[in-house]
Amino acid sequence: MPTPYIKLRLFNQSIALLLSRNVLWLLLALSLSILCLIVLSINTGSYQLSTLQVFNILFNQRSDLTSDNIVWLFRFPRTLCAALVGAMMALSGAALQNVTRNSLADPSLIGISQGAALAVVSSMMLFPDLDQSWRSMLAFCGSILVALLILVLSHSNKSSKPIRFILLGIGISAFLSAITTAFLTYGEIYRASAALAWLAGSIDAASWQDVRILSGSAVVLLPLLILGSRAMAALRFGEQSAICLGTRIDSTKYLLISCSVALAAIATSIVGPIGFIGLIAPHAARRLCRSSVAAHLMLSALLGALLVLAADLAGRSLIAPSQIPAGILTQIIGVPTFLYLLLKQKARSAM
Amino acid sequence: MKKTILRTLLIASVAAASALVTVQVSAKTFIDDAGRSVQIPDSAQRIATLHDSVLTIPLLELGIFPVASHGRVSASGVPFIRGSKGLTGYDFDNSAIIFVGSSPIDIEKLASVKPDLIITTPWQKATLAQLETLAPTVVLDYNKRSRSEMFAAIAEITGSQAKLAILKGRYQQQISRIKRIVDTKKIKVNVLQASKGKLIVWNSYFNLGKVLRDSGFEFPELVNNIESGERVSFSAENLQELDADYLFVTYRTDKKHTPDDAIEALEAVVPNFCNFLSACKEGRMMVMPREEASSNSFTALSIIAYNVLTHISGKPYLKNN
Repeated sequence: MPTPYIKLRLFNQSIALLLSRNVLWLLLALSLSILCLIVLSINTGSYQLSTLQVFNILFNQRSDLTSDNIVWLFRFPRTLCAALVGAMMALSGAALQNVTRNSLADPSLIGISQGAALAVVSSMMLFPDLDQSWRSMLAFCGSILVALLILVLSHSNKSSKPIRFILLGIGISAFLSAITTAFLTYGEIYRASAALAWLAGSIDAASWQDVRILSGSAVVLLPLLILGSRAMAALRFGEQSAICLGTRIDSTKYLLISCSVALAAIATSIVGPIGFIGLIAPHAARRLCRSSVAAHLMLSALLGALLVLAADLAGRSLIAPSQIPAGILTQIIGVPTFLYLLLKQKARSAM
Repeated sequence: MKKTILRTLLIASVAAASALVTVQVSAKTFIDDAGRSVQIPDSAQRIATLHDSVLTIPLLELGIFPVASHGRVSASGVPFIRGSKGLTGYDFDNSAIIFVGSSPIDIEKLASVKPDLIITTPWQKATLAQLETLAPTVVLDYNKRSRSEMFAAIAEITGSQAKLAILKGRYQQQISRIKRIVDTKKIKVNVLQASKGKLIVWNSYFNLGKVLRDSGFEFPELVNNIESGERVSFSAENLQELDADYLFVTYRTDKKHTPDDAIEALEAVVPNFCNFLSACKEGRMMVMPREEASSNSFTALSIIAYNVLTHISGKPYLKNN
């Protein structure tokens, strides 16, 4: 009888993964689904291009300039951006949930997205002449500052319990949202509507530069999370057990939380707040297949990519030429999921 | 053989020179509100405008039909150019203007109409980097330009200054008529809008404010203290300071609102508000559709000027003062 597991050892056993066949099949199925969705996305749009024309343009047979631009400057980077943002948001959520041992942890719930939103909205209101290219940098700084604030406040000499991190995050998130709402309510009406458009979270303006930033960040941060998967697995049993298993709790936790925050901050800085992917994807991955932490991270990333790709494709084609931002669609799916998880957790704790 | 080569070279250089001249003649440079120098085709035939009330309506009033426009979508899913049907008669359903979405517009839909010039505003979320790949793109910022300056810029870009001069002449004639008939310096006016439990006041309220200011009416001190072009939200406590001889209140017809909605919004700020405003108590509060009061349109200015003159002139109240 063949073993149901495949052992994967990399970098002189620094990374050792035990992957079940089910996980492998699921990884393969998700990868194929993403590939199909990418092909569909590149072939879909208001500008009429046949599949053959798109194929020709992609494989270096020059077409007219507009058709070339449609495929190479609009559809392709947008599609890749959607996949990368989804994967990064999902990874961020999965890592946060593992480290904090709280299944409700998500970058959009603990203030990271709200930090980005406040930084961008306040700059749009107070400095309307500021070039749009600054928005990514401001969003990134906003997210990082909020994450640092939560980390500093949640850490005390006595304890640094995960629940403290989550509760502080939710509190700061509400506080930041209130300030952002004040800016939108009392600010100049046209600036407010422009800010609202950014807050909806959309991938419509994606460029190759964005693809480079996202993929570069993913290449650096994903291996760090995979390396930390062993520590995350130990943390699943609680901090005391993890210490007994030889895990350096504080340094590992801060490294993993930093990676998680960086993933969400970079993704948000490029496309605006796309909520709940960090919540939905890890939960869906858990439900689809029991797996190790590292495999769960990979499954979450693929599911996140699939979700945002689908949301963006639906948003730009369902009622075209009107566009529904991907962030709105993910929230429509995400809010009921969040409520379901919340109720489920409440029922479990009551038992 | 030598002769043939020389002749070919001569023809080629003449053709190249004439092409160069053609390029120089057929484009002009415009410095837009993003500080960019844009080469605009002299006789743009396929203009796309990416803000309906701010850009599309002025263009139509200048006699130019854009090939595509930004628009809004009604609750029943029908796209429309805000305020256009009532002011210009044209909309997506009775013209060749193509609807390309809201904010952001559908960039591919815009590409499919093959524009030769795009006029946009900073409000539009579609990025300049994307738009510039389709056609020369001019940014006009209504935070930097007054409404009349916006019109002047659109006329300059499209070479329709002569038509603009005629529209301006008509407006000046209407303002002169108000000034001749009404002693505007002795009358205080104000425009109120209630929203989310607050009173919102502009200095001054778009078209309506322009007509009232150009005619020489007085405004409450609280309004004069607001920076020009800005708006301020006031609480119910300031209601009486915002009172005037004549008050104007607006409501949105594009959202199927009625005057009752405007009154209801004021009631939400101060129950029985009418008792605290002399203009309302004595029947000098006018409730009018917001489209004409706020659109960037000479037709709307005409309608407003006519309404202001009709409502304020020949009232016994004026004779008593």
